[in-house]
Amino acid sequence: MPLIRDGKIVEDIWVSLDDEAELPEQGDVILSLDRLKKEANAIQTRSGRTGVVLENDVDEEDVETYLPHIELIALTFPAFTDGRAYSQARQLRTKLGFEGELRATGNVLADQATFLCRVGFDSFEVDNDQSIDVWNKALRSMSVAYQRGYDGEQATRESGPLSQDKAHTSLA
Amino acid sequence: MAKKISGPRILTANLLGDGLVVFLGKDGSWAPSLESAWLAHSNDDLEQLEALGGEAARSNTIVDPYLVEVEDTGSTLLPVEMRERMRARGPSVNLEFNSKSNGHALVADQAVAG
Amino acid sequence: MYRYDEFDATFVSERVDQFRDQVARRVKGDLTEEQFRPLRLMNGLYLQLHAYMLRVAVPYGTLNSKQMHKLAYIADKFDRGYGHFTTRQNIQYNWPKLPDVPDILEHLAEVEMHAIQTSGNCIRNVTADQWSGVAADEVEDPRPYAELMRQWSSLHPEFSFLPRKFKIAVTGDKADRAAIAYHDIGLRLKKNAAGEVGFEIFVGGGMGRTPMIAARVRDWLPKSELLGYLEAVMRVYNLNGRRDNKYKARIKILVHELGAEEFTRQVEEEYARLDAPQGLPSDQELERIAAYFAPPAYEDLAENDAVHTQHLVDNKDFAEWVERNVAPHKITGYAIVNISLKPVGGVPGDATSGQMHAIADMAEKMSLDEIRVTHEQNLVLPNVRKHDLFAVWQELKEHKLADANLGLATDIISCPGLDYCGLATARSIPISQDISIRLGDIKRQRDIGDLKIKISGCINACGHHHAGHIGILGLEKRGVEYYQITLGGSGDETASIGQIIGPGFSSETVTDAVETIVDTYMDLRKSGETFLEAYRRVGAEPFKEAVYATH
Repeated sequence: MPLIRDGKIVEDIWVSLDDEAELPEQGDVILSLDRLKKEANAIQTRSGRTGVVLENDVDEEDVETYLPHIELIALTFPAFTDGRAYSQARQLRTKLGFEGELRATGNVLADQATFLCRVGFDSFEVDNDQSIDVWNKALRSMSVAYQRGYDGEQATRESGPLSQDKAHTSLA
Repeated sequence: MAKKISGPRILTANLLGDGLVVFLGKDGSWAPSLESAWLAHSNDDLEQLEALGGEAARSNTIVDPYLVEVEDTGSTLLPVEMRERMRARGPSVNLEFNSKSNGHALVADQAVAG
Repeated sequence: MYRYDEFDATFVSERVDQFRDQVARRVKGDLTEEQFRPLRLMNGLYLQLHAYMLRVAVPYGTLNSKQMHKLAYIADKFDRGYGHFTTRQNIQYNWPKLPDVPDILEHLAEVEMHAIQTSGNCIRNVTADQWSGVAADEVEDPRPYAELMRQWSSLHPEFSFLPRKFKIAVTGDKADRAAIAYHDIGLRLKKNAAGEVGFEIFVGGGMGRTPMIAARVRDWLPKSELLGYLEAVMRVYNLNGRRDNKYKARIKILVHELGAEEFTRQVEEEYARLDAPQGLPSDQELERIAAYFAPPAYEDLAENDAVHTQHLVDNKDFAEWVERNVAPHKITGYAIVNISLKPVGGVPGDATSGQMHAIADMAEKMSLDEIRVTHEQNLVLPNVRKHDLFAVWQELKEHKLADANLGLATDIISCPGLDYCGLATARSIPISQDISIRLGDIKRQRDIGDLKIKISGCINACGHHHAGHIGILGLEKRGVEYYQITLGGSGDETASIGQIIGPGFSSETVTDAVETIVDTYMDLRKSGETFLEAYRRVGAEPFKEAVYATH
């Protein structure tokens, strides 16, 4: 699946590891939460980076103790209408202060781009047929947002007057 | 030999553009009237209808095609379900607005009365 | 009322552009119907039984004359010359074409309106007491907070893909005209012991197949903390609401399954750990919004107007209309005019473009440019000088809008039902018309007194039948419509859920049954007792006996 980061399709250097597969010493791997818990000690000594994929019903506090050793968290969208991962992302970023890569996986569409960015996602696994242009256009489609305290490129009312280049650029 | 189905079926959908109700006709075109609808009596017919419906949906002519069971009274086709009778006929209220420029209102009133 | 600044205008206009692009992608085939559906729904566009339907938001039911003129214009140019006002204080157009919808939205944006989040599993149009800001006994005008919630909920990054739709209603009065107990969140402005105004918060009310009255989760919350508290409620719901079953996905089920106490505990826990100040609006922002709702330029008038008083004496029809449809205003010399969209035998909530234009003109000339839409599918001119009441009435009469039946038997709420709606199981409008004609004699209606009949064409209960004194639910069995009757529901401050009285009725006999129920009430009522009071005193039995003995 193509991966979008910083507005570009990038190579995905992370490998999702089956629970049965051996934990390699090197290389960046994404583990399930169960596996992560079992390998809590091992991951601290490996040279590769470690990530974890969280199901939607996991309480983010379950992962809190591992956060210092984790550099990527993948959250899943079983259907793009299932919005639990938005709240999970929000909690990871603001409540737990997670600063690593937050990846959206599953059914991820360009039309969700602004929402995803604003709750703190910064990488996105998208379907093959999604062009990066559609994604970036969607991301720029709204220059303003009403909610305070969320991320994103959008101006909020409190962030000061709209700059001319931000206003009405949606179809630029 | 083609397997018989419980009752005759027609294929319906809404046009993508104006959203209006249409039925797949015997000539393969989509029309607002079910009078000229293609009546499927066998499973083979059904498969053919569904294939054509899927094709039309993929080519973005129509939306959400599905089969409707009808009763062939000889003079008219009468959908079995109330909902489908309403779709075939158009609203039974606001006739002063809805009868004009609405092809559906021309479809038999007896469709509902029946 | 609220006016868009550059920020709001940019938001709405970019949203129009975004939808124009999405429509173009759909027509071209770059989006499948499955992908497009949630996107169009987020812009209020449904595909209904016969055609598309566009639901336009009327935030907290407030309109000015320019906006009403525009709604009429859209009805003529893009639809079939009429619109339908809904129980969410919105307006629906029944026949728009997909390629026209971006243009319609652009026209709406010109008058500071939109269709954002009038559908979909997101926070819907916030509704409010239709007499907000003018009711004689109001604690405070709730509309600044309704506007604050409108803005906050618009394209919310976290709460736009909820388990199910989410409805918020707000009132500033003890008398509940906004049915807050039947909402996912109901808010009531009230004073605490120290005399400060804050919000009493109810969560988990709703209609549908599992009707529930909301539980109180907070007795009093400082007004400035509203959005923080809502964020906590929404987060608990978004993470824990059921997504496995559409019929169990509303917040009422979560509140019910957890129990109100445990639900409240989780919300309070979440609220306590919020980084609240960061997300809350600043005082300046609250003041900025509130300033738009400052009272308009009322004249200094006497309590009584001689001309008006004379008309009351001279014209009995006028006097009866005033008695029924005109309510006291908080400003001396003014009155609240309620316009019935329930002509006997008509379609509840429908207005023609001509009627919309006429009401807009009246509002401009005689209601300080304001109009309200009510959840009971009527309209309001909130700021009419008593001196002008007669002129308003004459004008209304000319446009067949002067029915003096507010709150009476023919003031029926009805959803569009199977005449329009893709979800309906039976027709509801023809039943309401039939009942309206049967009970239509105005003397008889006045004799019957306050009676709320509410009709839904399916279990989703858009016609609020659970809250009807007499509720009617249309169902279908083997291709035949039939109607279940409930009694004793109420959507006011004494909210209760109507109880089914027994087997359903055919479309031919349901009106007879309703008439029998009404006649039974007339026989057993004590002096001055309303239908609801009588029902609450005697219960369902006498009504059941009468109905099932004769039908």
